Amino acid sequence: MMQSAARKQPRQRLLVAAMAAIAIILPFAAPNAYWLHVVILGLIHTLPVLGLTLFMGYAGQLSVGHEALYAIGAYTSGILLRRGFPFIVAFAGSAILPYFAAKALGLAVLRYVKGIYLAPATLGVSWFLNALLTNLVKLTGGPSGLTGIPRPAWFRHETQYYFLCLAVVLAVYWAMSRLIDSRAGIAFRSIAGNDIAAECLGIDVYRYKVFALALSGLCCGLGGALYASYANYICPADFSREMAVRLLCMCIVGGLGNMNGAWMGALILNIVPELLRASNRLQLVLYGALLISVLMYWPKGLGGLLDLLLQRGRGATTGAADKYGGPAAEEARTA
Amino acid sequence: MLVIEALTGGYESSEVFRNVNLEVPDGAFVSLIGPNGAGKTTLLKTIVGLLRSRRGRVVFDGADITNLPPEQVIVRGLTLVPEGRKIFYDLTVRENILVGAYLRKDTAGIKQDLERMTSLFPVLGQRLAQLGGTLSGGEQGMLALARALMSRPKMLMLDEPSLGLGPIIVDQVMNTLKEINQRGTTIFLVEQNAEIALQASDRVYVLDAGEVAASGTPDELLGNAALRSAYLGTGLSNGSNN
Repeated sequence: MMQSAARKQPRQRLLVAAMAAIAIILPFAAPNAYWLHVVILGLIHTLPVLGLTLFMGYAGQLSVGHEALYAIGAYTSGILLRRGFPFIVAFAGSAILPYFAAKALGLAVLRYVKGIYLAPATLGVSWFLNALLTNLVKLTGGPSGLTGIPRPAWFRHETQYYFLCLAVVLAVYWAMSRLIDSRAGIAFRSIAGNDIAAECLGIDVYRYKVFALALSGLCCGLGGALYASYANYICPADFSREMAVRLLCMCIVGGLGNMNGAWMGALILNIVPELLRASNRLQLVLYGALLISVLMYWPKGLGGLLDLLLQRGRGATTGAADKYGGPAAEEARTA
Repeated sequence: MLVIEALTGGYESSEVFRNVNLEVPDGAFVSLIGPNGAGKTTLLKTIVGLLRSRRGRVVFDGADITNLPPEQVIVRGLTLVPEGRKIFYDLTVRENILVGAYLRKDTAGIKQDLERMTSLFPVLGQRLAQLGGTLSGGEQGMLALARALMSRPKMLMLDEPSLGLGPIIVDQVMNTLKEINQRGTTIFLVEQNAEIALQASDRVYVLDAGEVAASGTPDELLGNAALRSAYLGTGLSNGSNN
């Protein structure tokens, strides 16, 4: 196994180097400002999708209301920035508040509600939040939203903002990949595999489900903060049911429980609709057909394809699972 | 090692077993047999703290563990291998084994035990990097055992390890259980397959409709014609009368 890990390395390093190069050159090579905008949105969406990847992919729990956590992050940052708080405070608030909101939701819901029943439970939460955003006019601006949300001083220009988003995504990605191989990560994945067996091994299933949801809220919140400053303007319609479904699609097209799938799904599902825009009225039809094809032909998603390219496959049942194996995982576990 | 006194329990809406008394002595191999629906699995879940009991006591290794949560029961040295093995398909074999040591903190000991498991189950040693879901049923059975042993239990409880396995594999699993028992781990086996339970055990309890209907050594049970026809199946008498 050590051998196979060693053999994989040059190929992986090459790919990582190529991706790093593309990421750095991209804002300067983008054909126009619009495409850079699309990529920035993809990066921002990567954060809530990583949140979903953690909660749905790794911990195996269903949520159809993650856009609510994304919205809490965006509004927290938006409100704080408009009142003149420094960016770093707003950003921290957008991490902390969704963390605790998600934790409260988890504490209330995850003890007794399981499996498919989490769909109506999380849907209820997102309706509830949308009603709050629409009706707390003094705080949220109501249906017309919040305008004039500033960007931080060093990141006013699109190219600069692109690198800010990239840095946040990379940091979250790195932290999450550490988490997944840690003791808590093994607990998450055990619960996803079989919660009774996990309980029989002494894993506090309820506590870890709540923890996964809280961390996932944190990811969504960071994404929300980046979105609010980027768009300068947020309103309840930005965090509609359609947004919730788009996030789910990104997560699934990328490959459920695959961290590379998260950014791939988020980018592709931002880019493809733009490419299809030329087809005019056929846009949604083609988009729908693409989604269905991915599910039919690559159920492991785009991240699964990347794993295949890297020849990490070991007869895996899911693409995500491939990366769990090997010495790294054991070191993390026994460290 | 394990003493169960007048234990009554079940689910919220229904009482599944009543007034169960049984004892598993230190180092013994004890089985609980009984027909489908007798309450065997529910009893095990109650002992290990997955379900709350209504009345009675569970004493393990001298300490009252009634209604303690699973993690506290496991730390005391009592581990359950759940019905249907329930290994983690998306974790590698190595991770499946390691997750069994979840409550332990002794890194060096865990590493040692991982090596011990690969020598006790060579087939797992060859497949450490493979995903749990790619193993055959028998291998999954071995993996579930290895995973449970990683908690260093004083006593192992198993819920129908023979379920869904072919006769040859069942023999392998039973031989492994005997070996584990001989190395000093107390075994409490719950089985619907009375034949294999009787062959391996020092003592057998029969649970029927939520109550202990009989108990004794395998020979005592086999000597009782009424019990034999009621619970032990007909094919068994030929094989065991030597």
